[in-house]
Amino acid sequence: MPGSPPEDRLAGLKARPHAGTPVQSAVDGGQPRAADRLSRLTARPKFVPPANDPTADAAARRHGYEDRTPRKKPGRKPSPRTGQLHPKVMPDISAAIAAEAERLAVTQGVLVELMWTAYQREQERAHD
Amino acid sequence: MIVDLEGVASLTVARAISQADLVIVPMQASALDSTVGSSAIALVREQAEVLGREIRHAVVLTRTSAAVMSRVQRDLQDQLAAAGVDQITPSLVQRAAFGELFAHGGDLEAMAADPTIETAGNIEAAVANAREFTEAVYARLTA
Repeated sequence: MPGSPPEDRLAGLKARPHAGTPVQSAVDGGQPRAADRLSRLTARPKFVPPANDPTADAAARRHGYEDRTPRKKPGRKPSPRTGQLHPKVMPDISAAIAAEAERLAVTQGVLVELMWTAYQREQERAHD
Repeated sequence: MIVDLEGVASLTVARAISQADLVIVPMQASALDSTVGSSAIALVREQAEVLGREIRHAVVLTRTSAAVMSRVQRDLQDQLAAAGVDQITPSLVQRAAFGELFAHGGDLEAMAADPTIETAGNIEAAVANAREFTEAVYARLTA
């Protein structure tokens, strides 16, 4: 349509519904619309490298593509099995706790439990 | 499955390319986008070489003008053609209706069907553009 606005010419490539009516496009020209056909497609069988294939990664790095996965938070997480805490203490205190646990032939967790009991006892005494 | 990747040069992009049946590189008709886009195409081609299989890829120009083709766009299309890069036609036209999707939610058809939504955009033209683009993608996936 010479003389008509280009966007009208573009829209004119397909039948236009009347203004104000829903655009029904479940079927285009007697076949399901492309969006529906796309959803039925399956991946073609092909060679798929492992997710962290070093050769493919090296090729990517040559083009400036870097690993941008977020870094994990530092520090040891509580044990999911026992809920045991892993507090950070000053190195000299850490060494002293380790030495005392070894001397008592118990784990450091047992020693922490003993310290907690002593702390609670002290707190109760302070409140009395 | 459609994987829409973030626009950064991360290894995730490279790994997704290595698994893809079709890689679509959206590119605006600007010098900056063409530089980044050509880097992505170069990566696809190198990945294909490394993996020893063809990775089908195509460029689609985005946010193009519905009225006129800019000189930059024409030059870019010529350069892509000269480099043997497959270009999806139609390009994705800059239309208010596409932008309004984010304001109203849903899709173009739902927007057209809802009498309470007042839009400044030409929804029918946007639907036609999206449909023809989808057909072009479908043709590449089934060729």
